[in-house]
Amino acid sequence: MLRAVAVLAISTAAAAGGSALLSGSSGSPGGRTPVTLPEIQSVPAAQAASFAILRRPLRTSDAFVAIHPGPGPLGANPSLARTLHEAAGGMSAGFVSVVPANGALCLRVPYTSGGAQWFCQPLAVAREGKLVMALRPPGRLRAGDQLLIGLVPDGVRAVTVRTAAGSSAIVPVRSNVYDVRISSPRKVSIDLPGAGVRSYLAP
Amino acid sequence: MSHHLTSHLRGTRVFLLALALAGALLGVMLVSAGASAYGVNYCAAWIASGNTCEGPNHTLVANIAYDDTGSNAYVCDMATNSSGNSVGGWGCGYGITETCYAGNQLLHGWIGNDSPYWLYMNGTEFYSQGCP
Repeated sequence: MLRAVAVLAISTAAAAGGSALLSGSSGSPGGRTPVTLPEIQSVPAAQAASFAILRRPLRTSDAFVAIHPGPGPLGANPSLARTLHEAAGGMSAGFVSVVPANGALCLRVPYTSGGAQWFCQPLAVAREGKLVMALRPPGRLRAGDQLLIGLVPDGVRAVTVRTAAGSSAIVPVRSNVYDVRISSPRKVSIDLPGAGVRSYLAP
Repeated sequence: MSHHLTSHLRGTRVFLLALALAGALLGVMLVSAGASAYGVNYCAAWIASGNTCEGPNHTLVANIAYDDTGSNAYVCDMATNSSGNSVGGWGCGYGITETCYAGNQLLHGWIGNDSPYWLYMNGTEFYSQGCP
């Protein structure tokens, strides 16, 4: 009987171990896995201090229909989101949500055809105006036309986007958010209050 | 009597062996279920500037593209269905970008390097976790 129990235990352990090894092989070596952080329950004071959109009271129009329940990346809490309407069309369904996360801020943009894009940056990086994302059409990665969306701290009224063709567009900022449909952006320049102009290579 | 005892013991062994195999199978299922609930990494490799890499087929709820070099370079993610059509398009951002999907169809995740440099990247496909 003892031998049988031992066989059972060893078989189970061997199977479990072998399976764990097999399941481990599905993840390639060197790959990162997402950092799981607890969902925040209120807007952190440091985030509210830099972004007026997070200081305003929640409105019914701020709530978005989550694709699945639960927190977003980096502990982002959808119930704390502030949502802006933008011009619908192209790939975007016409909404941009600013979602506070754990030590970070996120932008969430739903696609017209389903799905939603998230992009997050640590608060310090977001304060520098480097929370910039793009939605691009499928196909070749470097297709020209795209929707550029960014978050900037208080005091920034417009950002300048220069294109590969040499033209530039001055994009107004509304409630800390800007978005523009543009072809082949090259550089985004932001005049940060008290910190001067910061320029980032655009997608 | 001896023959009866022998056949009884043999029957017990067969039963225990079957039990052991069932336990082993249960172990496989339990561990596999835990692994599949999490997700899989794919395309962990150096990817040239402007190039993309396609992941496996799953009922995706999330697809994530990472720049593993830590240089916060511009990376993109996308998913295509069995017809090759994209759900949405490329979503791009610095360092890491994520897209949530409904989880109601089989999709291939994609990652892309839109930085001017070679990047060591990877993608992660999730197929049974929340993604709002």
